[in-house]
Amino acid sequence: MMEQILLKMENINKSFPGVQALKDVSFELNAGEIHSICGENGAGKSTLIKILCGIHGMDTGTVSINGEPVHIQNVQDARALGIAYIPQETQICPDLTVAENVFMDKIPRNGLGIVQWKKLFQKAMEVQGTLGKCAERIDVRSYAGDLTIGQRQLIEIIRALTFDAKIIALDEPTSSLSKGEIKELFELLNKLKVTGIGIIYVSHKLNEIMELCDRVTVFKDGQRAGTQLVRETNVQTLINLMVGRSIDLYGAKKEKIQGGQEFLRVEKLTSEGKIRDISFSVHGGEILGMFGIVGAGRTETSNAIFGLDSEAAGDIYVHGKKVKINSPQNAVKLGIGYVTEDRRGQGLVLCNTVRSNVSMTILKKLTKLFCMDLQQEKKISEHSIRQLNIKVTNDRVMAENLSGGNQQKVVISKWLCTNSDILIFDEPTRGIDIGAKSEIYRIMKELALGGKAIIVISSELPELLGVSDRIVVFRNGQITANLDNTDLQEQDLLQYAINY
Amino acid sequence: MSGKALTNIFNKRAASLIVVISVLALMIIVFSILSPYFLQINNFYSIGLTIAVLGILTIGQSLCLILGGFDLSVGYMLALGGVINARLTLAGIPYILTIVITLAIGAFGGFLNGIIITKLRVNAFIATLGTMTIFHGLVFILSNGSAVMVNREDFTWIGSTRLGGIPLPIIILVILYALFYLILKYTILGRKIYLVGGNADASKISGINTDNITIAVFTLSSLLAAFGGIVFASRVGAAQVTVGSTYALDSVTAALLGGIALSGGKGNIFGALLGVFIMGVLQNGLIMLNIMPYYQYIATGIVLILAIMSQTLRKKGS
Repeated sequence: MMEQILLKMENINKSFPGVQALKDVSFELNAGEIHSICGENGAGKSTLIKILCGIHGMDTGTVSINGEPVHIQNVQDARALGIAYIPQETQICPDLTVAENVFMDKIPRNGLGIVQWKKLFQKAMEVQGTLGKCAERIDVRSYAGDLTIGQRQLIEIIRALTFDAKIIALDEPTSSLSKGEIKELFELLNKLKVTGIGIIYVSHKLNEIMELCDRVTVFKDGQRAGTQLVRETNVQTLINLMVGRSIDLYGAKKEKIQGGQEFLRVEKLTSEGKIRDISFSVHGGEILGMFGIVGAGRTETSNAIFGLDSEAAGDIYVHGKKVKINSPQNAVKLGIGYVTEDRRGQGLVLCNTVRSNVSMTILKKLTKLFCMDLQQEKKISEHSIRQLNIKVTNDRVMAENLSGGNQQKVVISKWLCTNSDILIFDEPTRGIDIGAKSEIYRIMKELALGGKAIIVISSELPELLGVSDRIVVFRNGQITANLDNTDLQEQDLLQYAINY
Repeated sequence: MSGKALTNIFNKRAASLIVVISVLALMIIVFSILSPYFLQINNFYSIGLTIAVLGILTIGQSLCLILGGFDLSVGYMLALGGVINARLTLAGIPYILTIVITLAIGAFGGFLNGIIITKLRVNAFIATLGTMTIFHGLVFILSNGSAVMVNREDFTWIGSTRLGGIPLPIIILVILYALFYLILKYTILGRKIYLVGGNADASKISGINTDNITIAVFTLSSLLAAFGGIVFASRVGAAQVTVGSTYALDSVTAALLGGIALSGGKGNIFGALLGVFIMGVLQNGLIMLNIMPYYQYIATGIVLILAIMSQTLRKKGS
């Protein structure tokens, strides 16, 4: 079959104050193709999509659809041309029904302007019917707020279909989906592709790209680094294109430290409806991985350890001594640090400076007679910036202005300056680019080699296999396996996570 | 993000303060051209006296706003502080003791606000709306609904004393602002207020007792309001029962004018003082020009919207 070029974007330039976001970028999408755009954060991939969808204007360049040049000034123009944008954070109205969310501006009304509910639900079910089994479970009469994140995304896709979208652009669609939901999404996208819709898939999860996409275009520093057929390339080639140099993502395997002291032991930790009989231990010098699908009890376990779950019961021993942890304050005092999953929501005070974010765990130590020792604070934060190679002009910059990777390093430094012996990292590399990822891995390994006990929670198997000494697997709130990471394969872990 | 973009942001923050300062400067210039009496030192003392009470209240309100909260009850706590102080003085208790007792009651009221917000998990707006109504009721019960006159010389001491020619309330105002500037900048409490206001979850996970900080801030806010009530009653020689109605929102207006963000985590206490000063100058200037004083509300409203607008437009313009 002849490949029909659906979309052509040529010589696109776009600058924001102080930054040239896109330099002479060209991009092509065929009908019936899933084309991935990947690249590190700030490489310009989202900017290109947002130009296509009318969210940003471009400085220079041309866009044509089916060979016809088009002018996209705003979101309405893009829609009229059949371009749909599915953003990373789904935009739904939680207190309206699924059907209302789907039709939004095209809700059927009678002559008096009164909503025809029956017709609305009927129409919604019709569209839903075309999507197959992943959409079947959604009741179009239920409230959108009650849906899972994966189902909300589906609503956005269904909405796109109601205005006959020919091009659907998804921005990091899987960042908060579970494994099962990802699988369903992929099935759906493959189904849509067959109908001749062109799909743009923005992601930096390379394994997903390899599994789903037909072609991949790599961006680097606002320029196109290359376009390749997925069946003719491999992950390593893509990584090299993304960073512009060879990079060994996980680094050398960490050497095992024998005979480290037991730092943390958890016995029969239980919290009704979340976790049951969780027992494990971590030693100094060790990296313990925690694997499981989203909701299997990993974050719930670390919350319970950190005193964030008042219903949790069970025994916790720190350095061999039985302890009671009722609040994060207790946990911090015992030398436990927690790099949470939600960096912006629970990790950083975005509107405060890097310096005051770094020092927020050690305020008491910095205080002499009523007054804070601001000189000492400055020294500590500057030291942290050097130690973790945080890229900022100075430590008075607001945390919100840092890239994801650098923000994560700020969160890590705030625990390093407390001298915590036990560090819990929950999804530490989520949403950060490959360069910063490999740095985070290096930091975790160095910390373990320096004698600390590290717990890493992750849904990315290659990551866990790359850094951990030992991996515990969670399923339905219980630990199903506790495995030494020697010759472990992804399938081994998956098997315990899904059924055993 | 490049270094250039970052400097832009810093300039932006400074710029929003510059807008407020220019508005103030402009007002002073216009008023002094239109009225020969405006730019005299005695007139500035008069402005200072008018804003002293609002200024004291605005300190507490600013702390609440930086914490990401809101204290609606300060207005009626002010009235309540005045009435309690007056009643105690009338009962023959030594003046200094009446102040201590009044402040203690004020602090206790704020402590209750803090407990309701943290332990009972009621939103700050609703919690202080509730206590505001309660304080309102107490004011009427304690005063029988009319002003409580006090004819004791020491009662008017704070309001009428001058040190080196400067009225004492103005000196108190300046000292309090300096004190709270130092608290916010150099103490652990000040730092924690900014952190909790910026992100309460992150602060909690970092081992900060967010409940205690919230209770402390609301306690301080009520304490300052009760003190404002003492100063106010002392100036007039009587405790007024109707003063409470506008002060809470006026103090929010002043703080917002001064660049303190409703979203919490940001703001400078001197900005708030600037906001208070703008409101005082506006009121005074209009009186000088023989304009009906009711117009001051219209003017204040316009200035507030313009000031906030200039900040948000700046943000969008990037």
